[in-house]
Amino acid sequence: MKINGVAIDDTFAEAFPMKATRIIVTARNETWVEHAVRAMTGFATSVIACGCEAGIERRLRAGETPDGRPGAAVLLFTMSNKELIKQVQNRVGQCVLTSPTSACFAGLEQGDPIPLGKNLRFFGDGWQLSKKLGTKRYWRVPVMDGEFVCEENTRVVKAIGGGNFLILATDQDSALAASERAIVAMQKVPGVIMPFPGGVVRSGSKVGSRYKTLPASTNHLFCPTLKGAVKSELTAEVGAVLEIVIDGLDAESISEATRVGIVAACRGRKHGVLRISAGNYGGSLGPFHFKLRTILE
Amino acid sequence: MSALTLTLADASAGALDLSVLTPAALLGLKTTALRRLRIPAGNRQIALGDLFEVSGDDASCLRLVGLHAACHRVGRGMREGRMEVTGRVGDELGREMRGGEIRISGHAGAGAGMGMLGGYIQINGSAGDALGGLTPGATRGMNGGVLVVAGNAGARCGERMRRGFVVVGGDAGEYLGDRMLAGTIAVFGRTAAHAGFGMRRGTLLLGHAPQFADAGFSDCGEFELGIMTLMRHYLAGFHPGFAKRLARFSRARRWSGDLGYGGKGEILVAATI
Repeated sequence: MKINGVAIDDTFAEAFPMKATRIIVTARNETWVEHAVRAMTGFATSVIACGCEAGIERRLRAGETPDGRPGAAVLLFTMSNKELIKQVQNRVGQCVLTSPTSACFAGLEQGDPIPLGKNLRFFGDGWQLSKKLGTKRYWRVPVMDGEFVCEENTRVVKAIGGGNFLILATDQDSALAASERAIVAMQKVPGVIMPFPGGVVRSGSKVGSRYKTLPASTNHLFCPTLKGAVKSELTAEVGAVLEIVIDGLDAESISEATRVGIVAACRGRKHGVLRISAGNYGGSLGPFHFKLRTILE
Repeated sequence: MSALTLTLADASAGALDLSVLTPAALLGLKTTALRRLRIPAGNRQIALGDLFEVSGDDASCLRLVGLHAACHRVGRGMREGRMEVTGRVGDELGREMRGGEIRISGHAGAGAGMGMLGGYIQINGSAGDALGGLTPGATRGMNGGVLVVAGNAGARCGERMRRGFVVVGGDAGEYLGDRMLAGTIAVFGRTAAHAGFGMRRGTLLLGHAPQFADAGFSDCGEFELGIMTLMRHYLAGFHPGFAKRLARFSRARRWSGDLGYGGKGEILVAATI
């Protein structure tokens, strides 16, 4: 299979079950929304060392948010409910509560409830106020610029992490330009985030290493500088490989993001993209398999 | 299927207890069984067929036409469905109501929504005393739901209220939100003496500043509070007109109190009138 002259490998991305929540952060204007959500989703590229994977799903117009102000939807993914509770509390507590004019709401209606403002309210030191409207309870925590309004709970749903595809290009510039095109297209797909810097990762990993204490290490078969030294997956003309990792609320969202991302990466003339592949572990580790050719058919 | 309509034909029967007439209770009843239903009237019981003209067959939407001020306990304990009342009703409208909705074109007597736990009541006229108040012997008043009164409300509106939302388009009588435990009451008109007396928590939204004769409230200043937008959006699901009018509270002067009772309640007075 080829798209605009780019070979699509007959392979699949192997993904894993995760737990996820969507949180809506609002503020007085877009600038302060951005400050809050950038801080909240910082250092959240991989569960390996960050505790969670998080990203901005999309920006929300004033009319789309619960309190009628500009906002953003953030998705957080972890391997367990327990870790998600911890990450939500720490990240909202340290990055959203602290950000001027911010407010915070649950972004999912379904799923099991976990605390959002339920524990953060104690920052109010007894001055916090509850307001229950219908089935939703909000906490109003007095802060120095007024009140921090936060919904009591957010919802946790089963989700999928680790969807991915690899862009194999003639050189670094071509790989980077293709990745940027892909990310712009994928950011329009609801229900997914690409948690790495700019949505792109260059340090694709394999399971294990030659060091006892290191559970994951560089995917040396895809490193162009090792082409001559190892039984490389790369042909001679491949000069750079970049990976896009996708976490999503469901398989359909990840498939759609993969599709639009690959199509965008292969777009244009003289794009320098040679192949599209995907990372997997032989299919024995993750129950979700995103077959590239099936998705692109 | 058309809405089940009961038109009061005999207005001379005196005080009627209409608590038996809820959509859930009438659903599935055949016309003959419906006509035989006993309606308490003073110390007697009268067959429904002798009091009302019956038309329509869909009891999930129940229309009561021609009621008067001696028709009490309309929608008592209602759990689901829709009730539309043309005319006015007597006391205890929607008492201990749990769900569904009641809309009334005229006035309601005392105790409308007393002990209410859920659902929606809209009174297009005025309401008497103890709106959203206590049932006899109870320690808590209204505990959920939304109550909208287009006109005025009597004394002790929201007494010992625990949860829910009450909106009064006109004026409210004395002791508004008396010993309130939580919940929200909005009054767009004027309030009489002792508003918020003994209030522990909860919110009173007042279109006009009350007379703080009780001195149980302290002025915290004027703010734009984010919670107001959430309240507005919530109310818009029930009454878009009053939700729009809540916009006047987007900037409000906050009084906290009653200081003699913990001081965690608040009175928000609209800054722009």
